[in-house]
Amino acid sequence: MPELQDLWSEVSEQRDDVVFLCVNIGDEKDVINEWWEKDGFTMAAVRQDGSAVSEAFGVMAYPTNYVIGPDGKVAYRDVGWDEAAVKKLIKE
Amino acid sequence: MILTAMLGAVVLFPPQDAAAEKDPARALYERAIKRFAKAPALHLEASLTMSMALPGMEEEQDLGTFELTGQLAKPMYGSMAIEGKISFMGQNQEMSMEMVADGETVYQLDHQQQTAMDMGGDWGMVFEPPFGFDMLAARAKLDLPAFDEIAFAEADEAHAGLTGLVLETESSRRVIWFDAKENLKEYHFRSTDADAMEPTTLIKFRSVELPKEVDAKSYKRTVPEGYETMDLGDLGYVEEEVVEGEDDGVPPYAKDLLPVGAEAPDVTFIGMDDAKYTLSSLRGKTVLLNFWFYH
Repeated sequence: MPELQDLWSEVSEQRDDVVFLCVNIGDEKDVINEWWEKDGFTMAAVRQDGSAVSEAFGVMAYPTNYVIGPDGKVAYRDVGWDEAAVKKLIKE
Repeated sequence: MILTAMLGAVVLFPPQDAAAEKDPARALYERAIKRFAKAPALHLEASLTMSMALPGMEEEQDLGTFELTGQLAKPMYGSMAIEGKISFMGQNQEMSMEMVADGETVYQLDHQQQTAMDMGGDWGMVFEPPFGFDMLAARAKLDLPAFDEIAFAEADEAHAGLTGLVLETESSRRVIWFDAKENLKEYHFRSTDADAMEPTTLIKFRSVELPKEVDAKSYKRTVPEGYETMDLGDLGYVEEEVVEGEDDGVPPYAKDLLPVGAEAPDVTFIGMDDAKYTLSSLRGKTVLLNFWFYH
C-alpha cells in the first residue's frame, strides 16, 4: 500500500488522466479512514457492496491489481504487486 | 518420527536462514516461498510436547517435545492456514504457540489439555480455527467458500519431493501440493456422509504425505507404520473431482481474472463519502484498481 501511494504521489503530479482506486473488501469504514489518515494516503479508497466488484473482476487473492485503459478495457492484471509493470503501463 | 516430520509439514516451514544446503525439499520450499513472496509473511514459533494414542495402540506413546520456528508464506487469501489449536490425535497435549506478523504477536497460545480422540485411523493433527485471529474474521467477511481462498504449499526437510496439505471441513476435503514442476495441484473430495464428521464450520488442516507418483485415482491417505490401518471408507469420502494446476503456471487464485483486452465490467464503488460511483464514469482515464483489505 505505501508503494502504491508512492507511485500515486509521483503520477498524480504529472498526470490528471490517471486514477488510483483502492478497492477495499470487508473492512469497516473507520478502519480504512484510520489507516489512510495514519499513513497520509492521498489516493482514493473505495468500498464495494459485499464482494460484488471483486467478483466481477474475478479477484480471489489480495492484493490484486488491474489497470483499465482509457478505452475501458483491461490493460493489465496480476496478483500481487509488480511495481515495474504497473509503472510502465501508467507512464505510457 | 513420521509424525515429527508431519508436524513440520503442516505447521511450519524450515527456518529461512538455516539449512542452506541444497536439498530438494529446501529447493521446493524456496520456490513455494517465492511463489507467494508478495503475500505478507507470518512468522511462527512453537514448542510442542505431545503424546499420542491411536486405535490399536496399547499405550499412549510419548512423542517428545519439538521446538519449531517457521515462516508461513501464505495469508494472502484472507485466510490463514495456521490459526487455531492443535487438536492432537491422542489425549494429553501441551502446547505453546506464538504467531508473529509484522513484528507483532498476533496470537499466543499456551495450554495443556485433554482432547478427545480425533476420528479415524488418521495420523497427524488437526488445526481448528478460529482463535480470534483476525484473518479468519476477514474470510468470514469476504464470504468466500470455505476452501477456495486457500492455497498453501510447503516442503519440509524430511519429505523431499511431494508434500501436501489437506484442508477439511465437515463435508469436503481438499488436498493441495506442488508437484515437481511447481504446478499447484489439488484434489477435491466431498463427503458422502456429512454426519461422518463432527458438525462444524471449521476448517481442519491435516498433513499428508503423497507418493512420488500420484494421481487422483490412486491417492489415499497413509497411516504410520506400526499403527492400525483403518478402512478409509469409514470416513465416507469419495473422490469428486480433480483439479490440476495449469501447465502455463496460472495458479488457481488467478484463473478467474479477466483477460487483458477484456471489457471491464461497469461496477459500482461506494466512496468513503457513501456516495456511489461507477467505473464507466471514469472512461477516458487510466484507472488502477488495487483490490485490498486490511483485516
